[in-house]
Amino acid sequence: MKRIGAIIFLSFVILLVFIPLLTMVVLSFCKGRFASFPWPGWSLQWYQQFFENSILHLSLLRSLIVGVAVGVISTLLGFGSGYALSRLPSRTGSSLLMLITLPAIIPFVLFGFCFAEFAGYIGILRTTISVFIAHVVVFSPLSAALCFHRFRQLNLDIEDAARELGASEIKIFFMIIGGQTWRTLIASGIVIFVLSWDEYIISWFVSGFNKTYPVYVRNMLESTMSPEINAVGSIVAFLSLLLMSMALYLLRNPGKIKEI
Amino acid sequence: MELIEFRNVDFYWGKVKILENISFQVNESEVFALLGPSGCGKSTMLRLISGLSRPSSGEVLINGKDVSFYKGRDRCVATVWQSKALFPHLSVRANIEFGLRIKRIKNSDINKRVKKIASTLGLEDKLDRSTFQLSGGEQQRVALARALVIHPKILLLDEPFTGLDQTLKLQLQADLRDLQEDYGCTYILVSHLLEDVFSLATRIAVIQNKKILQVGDPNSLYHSPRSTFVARFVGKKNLIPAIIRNVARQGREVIVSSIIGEGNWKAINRLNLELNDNDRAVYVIGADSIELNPTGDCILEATFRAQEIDGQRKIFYFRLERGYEVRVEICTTDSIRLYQYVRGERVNLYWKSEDAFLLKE
Repeated sequence: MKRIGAIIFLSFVILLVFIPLLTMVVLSFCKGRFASFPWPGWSLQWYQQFFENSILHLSLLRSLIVGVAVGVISTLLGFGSGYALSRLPSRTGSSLLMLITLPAIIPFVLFGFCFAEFAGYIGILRTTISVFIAHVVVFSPLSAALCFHRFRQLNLDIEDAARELGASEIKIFFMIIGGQTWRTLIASGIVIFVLSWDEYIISWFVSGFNKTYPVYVRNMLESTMSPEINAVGSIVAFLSLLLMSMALYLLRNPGKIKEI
Repeated sequence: MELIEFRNVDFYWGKVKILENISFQVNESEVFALLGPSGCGKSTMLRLISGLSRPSSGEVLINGKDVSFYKGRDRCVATVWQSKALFPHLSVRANIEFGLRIKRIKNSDINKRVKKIASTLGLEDKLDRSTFQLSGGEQQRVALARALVIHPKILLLDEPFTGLDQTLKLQLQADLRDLQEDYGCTYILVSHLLEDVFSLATRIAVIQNKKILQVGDPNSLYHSPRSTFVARFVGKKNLIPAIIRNVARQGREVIVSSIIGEGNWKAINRLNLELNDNDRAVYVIGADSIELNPTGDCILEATFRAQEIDGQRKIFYFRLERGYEVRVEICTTDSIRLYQYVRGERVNLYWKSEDAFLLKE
């Protein structure tokens, strides 16, 4: 009885979480402009329209480039700072991590506004570069936090064991520390890519005419409300889910740690 | 000749003193044990030998040269870590090979050496597993193989027996003995348990509170402890507070009276302590020197508390006044039937005065 209750409850939660997404996917295959009763029939026309929309492609490409660059740079910054912080005395490390995380947790509207002013001041407002820099500022602390916690789990004796067997510091960093933490490194890159790719508020403030894809889609909604959005949304949501699942898998299994 | 030498070594961790004026030597092919309670600085001494830490003052020498002289591929020290410190992301084979690869040894030689050590330690069929698929005992053997495969001059073993059950412990001790014959390296063994090192070590340094209290072979530590700590920790002796009554001017016999109970006993001043009448001292008598039937010239009345049987030995616990306890070990098969006491019963303990000796408080 208890079991059945649990199954029903969980099914309800899962349904609740996925219904908006499913609605979008179903509508993206709808023949008419609006879903109506009776069902107007199935069609791939919105996908076709999306494949012909070159401005949308450009915005997607722009988001892709920014996302990949932000993912790589933020992760490298985060990996380095996470490593440095993890080697400080326990309390100092955690406090400094909190300090560098602060800019990332103020509301994005505020941050976007401030950053737009700053970008205008140094003359990069309304460029793709400014979106990139803003995202690095906001997302690299997340990577630092992810890496920091992984580094804190490492047994330092392992590095000493390698050192004693004659390994140089460079070898220790790449072979021993890197070998144990690369999953976290890649997961962090993926998570940050997905976040940057989907980020709308800051991009809206700073991107200008060089619209990234979320900004473009938002504009599209305001002007035309074309069901093409459902098609784009379905594709993007599918890719995001796929990438996030990969990241979560890597994080859940960080180098197969087990107490030994 | 001596292989390792500590010369007046002090070590500070920040402002905390970890080791104080440590000096000792270890000879080639010895099994040298560092014995002491947790946190007394034993593991730090291993780090100093392997050059992972530098002494705050004093010198640590290997073959007469400062340890910092041995760098990278010249290193001749390997450690079996208490945490095992296996590389968790590498296979068993890659773990064992690691030191050889760093030293850029030829592939064919690497394979030969890995094969040999793996067969010695019974790891042949585990080489391609990951380390976390192994049991604790197997992980310990991988750690040992990884250290020994580089043919170190000195093998450091940090609490190698903790976490192993009795069978595995005996097996590892036997393996270590055999391996020393094969590889001829010097062992430095760290432990907080006497039983773990007593049968293996040629010499033991007892460490307490940052300092070395006594260095000697197991027998001399057991029979002639020079401090109450060593007497209790190594010899499991009974220590009874006493007052010197009469110091015999000739010979080494001393009459003492115990502070607890009423006894006037003789003891031998084996350590040639500077003793005067009415000084306080500690009267030391081994658990295996006390008898329960009237023999010997010393007698003490005590209250029976408990007993336990340990193989051939029967161990009795008696209580004295003021919470002092006396341990008695009787080593005959008869004792299982003999000496049946009820809790609280008053029993006379006997021993010969020549088995007892005195220590300063």
